[in-house]
Amino acid sequence: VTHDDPERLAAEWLTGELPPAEAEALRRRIDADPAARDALARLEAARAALRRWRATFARLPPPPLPRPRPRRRFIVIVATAAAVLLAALAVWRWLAPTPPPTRPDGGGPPPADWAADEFTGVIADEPAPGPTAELALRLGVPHERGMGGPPGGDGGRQGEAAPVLRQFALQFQFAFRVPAELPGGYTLDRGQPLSPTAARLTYSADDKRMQVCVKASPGPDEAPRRAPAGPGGRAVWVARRGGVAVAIDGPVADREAFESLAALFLPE
Amino acid sequence: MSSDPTAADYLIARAPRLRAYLRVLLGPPAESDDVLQELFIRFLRGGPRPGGANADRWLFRVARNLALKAVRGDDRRRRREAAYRPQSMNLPDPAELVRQKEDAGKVQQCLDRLDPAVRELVFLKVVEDLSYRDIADQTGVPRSTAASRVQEGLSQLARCLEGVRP
Repeated sequence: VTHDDPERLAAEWLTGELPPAEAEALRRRIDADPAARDALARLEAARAALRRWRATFARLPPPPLPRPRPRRRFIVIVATAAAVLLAALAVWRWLAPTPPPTRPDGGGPPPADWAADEFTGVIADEPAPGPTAELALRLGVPHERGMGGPPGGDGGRQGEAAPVLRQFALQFQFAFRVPAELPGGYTLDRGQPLSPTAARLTYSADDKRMQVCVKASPGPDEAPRRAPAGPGGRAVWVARRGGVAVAIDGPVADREAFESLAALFLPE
Repeated sequence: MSSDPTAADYLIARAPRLRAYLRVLLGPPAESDDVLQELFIRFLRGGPRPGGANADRWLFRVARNLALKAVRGDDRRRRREAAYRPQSMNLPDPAELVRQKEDAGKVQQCLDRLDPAVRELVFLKVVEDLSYRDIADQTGVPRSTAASRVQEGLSQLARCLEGVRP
């Protein structure tokens, strides 16, 4: 303690938290200084007054203690409500009908694709023999008119390819046409009756190949479009008109080209 | 009474100290019992274990926070009221005049004259007998600053209290 102000010396001794040796030395200085002794007496009196003042609070009536609502009751209420909610949810789930499967994008059940229904499995990369004996179309003979007209119609010339085509045509229960040639130099080289309501026709030109499936298909007319009805989901051109569906798997340039090709097979 | 007699006894036993501390912090007009109620509610809802090592410290720290919050709100309210109060209404409170004749009233008056920050430090050191380290923890005032302010505040208080006999 380096200062000499008596009051500061007294305050330092009273409140300074000095080490014992230093406090003892300071006390000796205060005892030797009448002004410091007086200051210490005044400060101690102030301290005593403060403590008496604080003691008056003990004579006040005790404060009312709050009555906190027991937490246990709150927890019980919350737990009960949660249990009731869970039970109601379980009952609802048990009673509610199972919703139909939804698409990953949440857009509801997928729409039925008529083209996929009709042609999946019908179009083949390597056409296999049909359920009945395959009819060999005699190549090289002039059957340029193909098989036109109604079922059983005479699409060819007498004594040429017509008997074969006629036999071919008689196996079906619906009317369609089989052109002998297609634009682009394609010629009919194979015809397979798959069932009384489906036929598979194969055309080729040089190293190119085009497969045409014709099928009886009751339903409204469908505009030409590409649909994943080929092997492995490959897109092929499809259309339906007058109850006959056509699918073409091959080098078709665009929608317009397909429309012109399909018109050759569909009934008038 | 509270459902926990231990906590209730503990709080009742500390009520005088806490009331005095709140009176020091809040000054006149004191609403210390309102703050005390809020303090007790917080203690009973989520305070430390009664009688634990940190329970007293927790009580004084939260009491201080609540009091400072109340002072801020009270200052705003007083400013609003002062803006609309006629000057003729600024009369001394008769009860305050009577209290000033008593020793306790004089001490209170002298305490109220101290700077609020100094008043709190003097109370914690001289009345609660806390160390400067605990005072620094409680108030955030550095130890050396707290020591010099306590000495200065105690001297001011002694000068104010001259004439009051123990």
